[in-house]
Amino acid sequence: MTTAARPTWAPAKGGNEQGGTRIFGPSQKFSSRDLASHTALKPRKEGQDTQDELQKRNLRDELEDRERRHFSSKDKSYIDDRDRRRGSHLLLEGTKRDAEDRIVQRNVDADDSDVEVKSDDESDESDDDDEDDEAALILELEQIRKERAEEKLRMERQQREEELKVKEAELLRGNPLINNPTSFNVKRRWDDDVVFKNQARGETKTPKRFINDTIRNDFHRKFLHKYMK
Amino acid sequence: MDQNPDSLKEGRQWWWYSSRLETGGNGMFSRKGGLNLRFEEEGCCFLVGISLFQTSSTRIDRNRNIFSRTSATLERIPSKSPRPVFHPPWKIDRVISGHLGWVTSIAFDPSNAWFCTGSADRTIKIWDAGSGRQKLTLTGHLEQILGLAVSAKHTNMFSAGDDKQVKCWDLEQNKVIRSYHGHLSGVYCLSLHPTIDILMTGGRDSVCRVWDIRSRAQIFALSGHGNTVCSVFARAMDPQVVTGSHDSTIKLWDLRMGKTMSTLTHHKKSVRAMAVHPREQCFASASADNIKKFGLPKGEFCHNMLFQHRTIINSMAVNEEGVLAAGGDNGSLWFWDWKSGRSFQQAQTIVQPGSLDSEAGIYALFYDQSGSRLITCEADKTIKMWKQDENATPETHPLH
Repeated sequence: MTTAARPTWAPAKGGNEQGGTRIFGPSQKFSSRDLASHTALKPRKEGQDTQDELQKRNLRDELEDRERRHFSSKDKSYIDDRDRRRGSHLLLEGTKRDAEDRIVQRNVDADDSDVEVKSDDESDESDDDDEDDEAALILELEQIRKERAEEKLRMERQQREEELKVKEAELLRGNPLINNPTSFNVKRRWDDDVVFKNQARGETKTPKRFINDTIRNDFHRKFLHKYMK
Repeated sequence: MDQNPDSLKEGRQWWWYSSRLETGGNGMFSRKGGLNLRFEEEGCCFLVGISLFQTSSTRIDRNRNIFSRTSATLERIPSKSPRPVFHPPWKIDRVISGHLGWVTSIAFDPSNAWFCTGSADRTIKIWDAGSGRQKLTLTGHLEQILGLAVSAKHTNMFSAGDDKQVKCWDLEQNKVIRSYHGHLSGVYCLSLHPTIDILMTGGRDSVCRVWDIRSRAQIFALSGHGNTVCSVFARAMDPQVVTGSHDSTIKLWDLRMGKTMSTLTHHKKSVRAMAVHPREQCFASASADNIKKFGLPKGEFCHNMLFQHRTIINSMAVNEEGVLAAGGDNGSLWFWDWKSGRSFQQAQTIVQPGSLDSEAGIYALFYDQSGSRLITCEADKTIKMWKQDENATPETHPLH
């Protein structure tokens, strides 16, 4: 077993010529990890909290506002909207995702405009016979009103009859001395005469406790007891 | 009465008045809104007019004829040490738990929206600063993570750990994209240069390595320390790199030549933490014996902090208001007034229920970007957020 990971009293000291070897010329061999990759630095773009953007913002107020929103009872469900919408949490979004959002919004708008166009056409046709329609409409309205009034009257009559019926029935069967449904049998549970019932009643249940140690906590001890012993 | 106006310097004024007020005098409010006090003692009588609105131009009328110099009227020499500034005391705001090991390092995002913590459970966790919710867990290190930094210029985060690895994470993909290979032993500290795209790491192999972020090449191995380099910070101006080490020295480095500019040997114990003031040209360094302040271009010694924080200090941070926080290995968190060097609050963290009392310990400290919240990373696997008491005033918490 290698002892490389163990602490030593005299750890290796680094330097420009570490290990006593000085490189005089470029080596012919190099590690695959040293292959050139990610050769360009990605500076923060607009919208990725560049220095200029941050200078215009009041970070303290923003933080306090976010804390207030989190702690206020009304907004209990507040989570970063972004987090809920997207499965992955990318800390700095690129411009690509914003573009996707914009496309979706445009589609919704397009649908709406189609509907509107159709309705406009219909209204244009109906403009010609406007006055005839008005008279017909008034007639129809009156008829509807009449029907509604009749309906109302009928409903009220029905209700009154029902109430009367209920009252009569109560008068007939209302004597508590004659019509008492209670019986004097003691109600028994189905498992009253059974031996095995709720046997855990007498045992004291150990309360769940949190021990801030992954190998001394109750779960791990129980686990070891169960599977290792 | 002889009207002989005599203005005192501002520093002495207050002492003079307060000594008078203590002996007793009868005062009355004048029509102008100022306060006129009339003192009678020792046979001398003089009238003091204090304008509440112009303290600097206060005139004092005294009767020179009867006036006799007593000890109470001798000039008071103001103390050379600066008067302490009032800072409201800090208190724990919330406790965030989630790590499965000691939380050993922390860095804030420049936008103040999230912060990342590295832990002895080999993960980096990203937390939302406002709600304290965990956003993400990043795995990849094989040992505890001791250094973290988020770049303000690039979409990168840097982490360094006990596994000799220094990694560069891409925050747009949450992946490791570069790894800086070369440390012979665990890496203890990490710092980004504010203007140039280079990265400084110091480790147990007692060198501070300077890396080119882009090409992953080592530019320098700043060697000279006799023991582990455990604290480093970088500045835009010379000295661009300052390292503190377990050999109890601090070295200021000339980054152009890769050589030591000067070595500060004031400390007696290992220098585990350093903190640069965001505006002033000076920094503080902490070791188990003392916290010392040094001026920056030259590294001249300014003064010690006035009280002794009797513990190993693992981390320090200063904010713009001049509150220096020093976190100790025994869980003590002392707040210092930067200017006067006095400690105005000596707090102690409380371990989360379920942990041992001996698990109180602070491994890393960080102010958020606005300096209004302090975040401590602790040995009881929690992250604690501290904030200032809003209701505190100089009356409720007087300076002592």
